[in-house]
Amino acid sequence: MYKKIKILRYKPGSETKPYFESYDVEPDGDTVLSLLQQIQKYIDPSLKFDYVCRSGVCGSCAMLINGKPRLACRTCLNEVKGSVTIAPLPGFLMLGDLSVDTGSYFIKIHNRQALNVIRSKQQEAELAANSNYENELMMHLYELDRCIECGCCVSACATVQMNADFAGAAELLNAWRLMSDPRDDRTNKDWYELYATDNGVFGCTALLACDSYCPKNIPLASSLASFRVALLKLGVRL
Amino acid sequence: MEIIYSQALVIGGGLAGLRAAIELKERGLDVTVLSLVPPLRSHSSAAMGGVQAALATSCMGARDSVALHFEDTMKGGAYMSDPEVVNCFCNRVIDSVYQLDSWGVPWTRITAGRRVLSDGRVISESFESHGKIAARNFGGTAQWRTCYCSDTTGHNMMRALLRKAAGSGVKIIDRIRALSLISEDNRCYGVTALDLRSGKIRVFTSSTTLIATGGIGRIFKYSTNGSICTGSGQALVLQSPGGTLANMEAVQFHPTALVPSSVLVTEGCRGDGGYLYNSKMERFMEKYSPDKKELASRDIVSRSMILEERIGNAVENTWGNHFWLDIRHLGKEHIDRHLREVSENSICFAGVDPVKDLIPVYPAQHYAMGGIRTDISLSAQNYGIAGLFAAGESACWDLHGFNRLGGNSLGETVVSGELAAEGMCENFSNNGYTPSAAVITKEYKRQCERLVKLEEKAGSNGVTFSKLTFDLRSVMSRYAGVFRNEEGLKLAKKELGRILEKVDGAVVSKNFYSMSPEIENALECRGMILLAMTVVEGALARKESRGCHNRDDYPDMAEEYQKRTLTRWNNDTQSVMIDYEDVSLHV
Repeated sequence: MYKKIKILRYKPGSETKPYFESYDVEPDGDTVLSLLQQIQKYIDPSLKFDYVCRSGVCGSCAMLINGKPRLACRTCLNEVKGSVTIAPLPGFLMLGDLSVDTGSYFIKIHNRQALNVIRSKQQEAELAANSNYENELMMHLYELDRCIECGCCVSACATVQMNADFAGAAELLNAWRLMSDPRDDRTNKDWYELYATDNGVFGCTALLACDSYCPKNIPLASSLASFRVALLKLGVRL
Repeated sequence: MEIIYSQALVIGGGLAGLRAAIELKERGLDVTVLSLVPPLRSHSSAAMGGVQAALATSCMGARDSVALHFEDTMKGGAYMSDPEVVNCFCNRVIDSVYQLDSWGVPWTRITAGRRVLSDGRVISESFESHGKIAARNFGGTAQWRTCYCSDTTGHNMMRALLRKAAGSGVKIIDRIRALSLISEDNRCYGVTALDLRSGKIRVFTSSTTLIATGGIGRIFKYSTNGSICTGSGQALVLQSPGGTLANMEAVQFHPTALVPSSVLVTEGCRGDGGYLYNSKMERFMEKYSPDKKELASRDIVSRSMILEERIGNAVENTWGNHFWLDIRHLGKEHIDRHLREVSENSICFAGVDPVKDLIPVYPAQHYAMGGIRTDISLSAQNYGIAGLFAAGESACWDLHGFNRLGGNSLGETVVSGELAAEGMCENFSNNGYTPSAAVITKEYKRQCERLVKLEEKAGSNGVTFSKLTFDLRSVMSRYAGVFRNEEGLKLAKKELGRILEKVDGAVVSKNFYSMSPEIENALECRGMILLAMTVVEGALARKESRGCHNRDDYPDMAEEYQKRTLTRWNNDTQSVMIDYEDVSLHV
């Protein structure tokens, strides 16, 4: 059965404005990603989109599928009824067709949260000898560490649309994950100064689209709430 | 032409590249990382299983030691690994696991108390071990030795290294593709690269350069590797004067790739107690490896599956033959907690829920033991190119021999990355940076001309690069798979020769722009063909079966081939040159 698919095309640096192009394809795979690969292989090899792992772990292929931010590799065709309209993820710089610059966005987050701790060999040995932690704590950190930096939460966030300086769910989650980690050398005061602000955790208007659209089902709603509570408590104490 | 100079240049932003970059930066060198994709997208992130390190923390690893890890690795590699390298690795990986712990990797921990395993055995973790880093069972190991974070260990390590790299102030440039080495008199001075944001050719020079670009999976049709694992770094070296690759015929096929997508199902499934069934619902591994059964090393399990298929015991399916992996008896709680990606992937890509269904699996290309030949300091100086280092899967310092044990690749990324950085620091202080301007300009112009030529012919009639790539992959999966034979390999050689003849005349579509994926493919197509040729020629010349290299026509191991294959590309004769070097058996 043929599937109608509409894709936003854009050639960077050219005079042409972005436009939609339609294709009729008889799918030979099960996912939206396989549909795109088919178009690239048989119809237009210049179609630009990102993918690496094709199994939902690398976060490359986030795009707007029928208006919703999703991973193309994890979107099964039988979930999308009728025709499919695909556009690049909003809120990021367009690099061509469906490819957007999530890399620069996320590296900035890591740079903002960066703290360089150079430990001596002896300090490292001491840390190693004392590396005893409850598995429950590690499983909790593992859960918060599952972010694949696909950008779905950022593009789904209405607060980011209204306030471009708002940190966004991925950044706040990462901060909360680091703050929850006893092995991390950053202090509570560091986190308070970075994120107890209107552009930080208090800027969140709790619309929680981030939580609904996270393809890894990371508990963003409860994590952001916990982070907010933790910083509030700190504020009272500091 | 803009030239960007860094004291140290790292090609590849995966685990090996980032680990090296962090070390270089902390040792005071100014370092630039060039990454094809944002680092977290690297295929390192997809590694599931874990890291083998003899921490001897768990009760099932209590007798473990560096010596046992050494023995398992040597045996697993069919005694082709470099014992000095294996010894060094088995020692250093222990420190690396603890170092990663201090950098924030959420290793799964031991909980004290009794636990019933899936096979009914009862184990009891001591009070003293409570909270220490846990280990799981993996194929080909004498003890439980594989440290892990659920089944996303690579992802968690990547995130820790990415944070650490940001903290150290490592400069990372993503969306850039290295195109060639800049070299003069067999000394590397950096690379030319295509900037995938601007579409321009850029020049990055350096005093010391590391290649950490990962595996070659995408020269095969069926591979668990990500789309970017095309062996790009190996191809740069092969096409550079003097560049030497080793053991390219040593290609590992993972027994449990999902059918039909070839998405990886971790070895942890079998490590945790999963079974493999044939079409008669027999645990066929009992036949082929009565002791270890499903937990025999990967080469043995993959080989057994093909042998079962030959006697008509594979499950037939319109999507292709397969076998069944059964983890239902591990229970929902265990699967949700320790095999979560397996569960999600099976549901999404095969429509089966491993809690109640069997998982369809079949061997697919997984790992290249071969790669850029280096010595134990990860330097390629003694193998044709000074000032060049390689680490991770793209390197062959020869840790894995002819078959890699599960859980040894993630460890290798960080250990080899760190060691390479140490070597690079020494290399930096010993060597002046003296390339002639003419060499840099010539290489830059050569790459610009390639782009111009592609643009001029865009849209004209002719065979396309994507067709050639497709043909190449089909040839490799058909003739250079789990089992090989002279007839097939000779056919493959002929086919690859034909494909190579066509590549200079191949064209791209009329919609030309230099950042398009089609141009990337066009620029690397030739390199992929040459790599495929090294695999085929190496396999053809090795008239024996050893580790993952199985010859139908030479089923036994032959002592005369207990040698490392070295391959170079001869540009004059347009052919692969093969050489051998001795392997030592003792440290």
